[in-house]
Amino acid sequence: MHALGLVYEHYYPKILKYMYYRSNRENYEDLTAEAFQKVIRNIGSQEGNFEAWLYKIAENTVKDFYKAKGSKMRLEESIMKSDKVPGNNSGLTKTELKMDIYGALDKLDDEKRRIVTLRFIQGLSSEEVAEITGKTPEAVRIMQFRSLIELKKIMTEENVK
Amino acid sequence: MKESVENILDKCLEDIARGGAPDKILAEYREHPEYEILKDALHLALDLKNLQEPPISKIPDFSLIADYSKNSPVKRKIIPFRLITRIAAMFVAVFILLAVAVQASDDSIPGDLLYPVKRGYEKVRFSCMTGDRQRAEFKMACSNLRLSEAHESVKKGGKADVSLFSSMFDDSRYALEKALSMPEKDRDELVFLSAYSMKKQKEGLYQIYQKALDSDKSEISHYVCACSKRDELMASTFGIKISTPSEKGCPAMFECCDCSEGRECKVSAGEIAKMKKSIQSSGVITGSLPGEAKKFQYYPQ
Repeated sequence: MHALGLVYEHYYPKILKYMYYRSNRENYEDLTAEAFQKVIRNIGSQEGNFEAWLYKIAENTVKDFYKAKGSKMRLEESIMKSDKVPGNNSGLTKTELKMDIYGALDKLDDEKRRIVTLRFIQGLSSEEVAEITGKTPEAVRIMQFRSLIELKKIMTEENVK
Repeated sequence: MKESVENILDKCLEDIARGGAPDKILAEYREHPEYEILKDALHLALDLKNLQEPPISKIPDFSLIADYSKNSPVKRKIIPFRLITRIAAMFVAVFILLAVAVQASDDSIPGDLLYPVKRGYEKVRFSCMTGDRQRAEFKMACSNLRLSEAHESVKKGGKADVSLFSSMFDDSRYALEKALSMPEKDRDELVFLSAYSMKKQKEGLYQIYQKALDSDKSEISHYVCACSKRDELMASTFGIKISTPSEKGCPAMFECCDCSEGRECKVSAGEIAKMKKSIQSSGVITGSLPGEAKKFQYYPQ
């Protein structure tokens, strides 16, 4: 098998998960495929840490997608999403469950959501997140803490409502 | 020094990633003032870590992705319209600002805020000129303008800026040299205009000398002498007879009244050669002859 094919098989689930939590949880498969097409096209110019490069491509793909759709669309989708809990088999609606972690994630600003996705959901270290985002590890540590506090606050406020 | 809660959280997460029990790790920080916040943050981080995997229908075949990436056209980056509008608006604003500054700097003299704008605009205009005659005439005008500026400064009771006299000589020299190298018709006209301009400058400079502060007079007198000598050299070389406005009794030196005579001027090849030699050897045209000028001791009456 093509060496790039092996890389693809290894990283596909990771990038799919990243896209799932960075996007509207509907287009994540298309976005993942698009990101890997970019990887194949640009593999010749790849330098440095491969994983960091891969996540940067994934992030740019998400950004390009929303730029093309317009930020207004994203907001509408986010509101619509708040009534659906993906993968939830209990059949409970969002209103019944009150605010869940998915809805809270949607309410975080883009940069914090990126950090949360990379650090907690993808399970990367703060040093790896720093390399991907171009920040210092210290800045990532501060930002990840603030993002968690904000996330907690959003969830609490919504539960009170 | 107490460790920051941000660093403790990061350390806890690293310990948990290595297989540590969250409650046991947290227990170490029970005395920390922000323990409750830390606990909440850590639990939330763990909840996030345990979020469900996205549903995957099937991993698309790599060959399909690879084929599609080869066949799909590479998207060109399009500059957004909004950006173009902003850049255009910025250029228009800068252009208007510059135009206003240039207009406002028209009457500025050395020491004024806008004077560098005036000189800068002159340089830009000069570098945009292509014709030799146009350039020569422009330099001649600049030369006269320097003298007017010096006159204006002195009239306002200020100190005479002698660097203006140097510029005046430099610009005149440039115009004369250009004139000498031009085709016959243009050359004759421009040599005459140069001679006329130099004669006017001599008298203008003497007026400045008279109005200048006593402390400046000695320095200005050098330029007055150099100017006189330059004027005489032009007259003796080309045999041009010129009467300036003041000689004709005009009240103001800098008013634009043409009192000149002898417009019929014919410059011969011998005269050109003689003048070129003078420019190179004597320094009269450039005004750079302090020793000689002092010896000359000529002041118009």
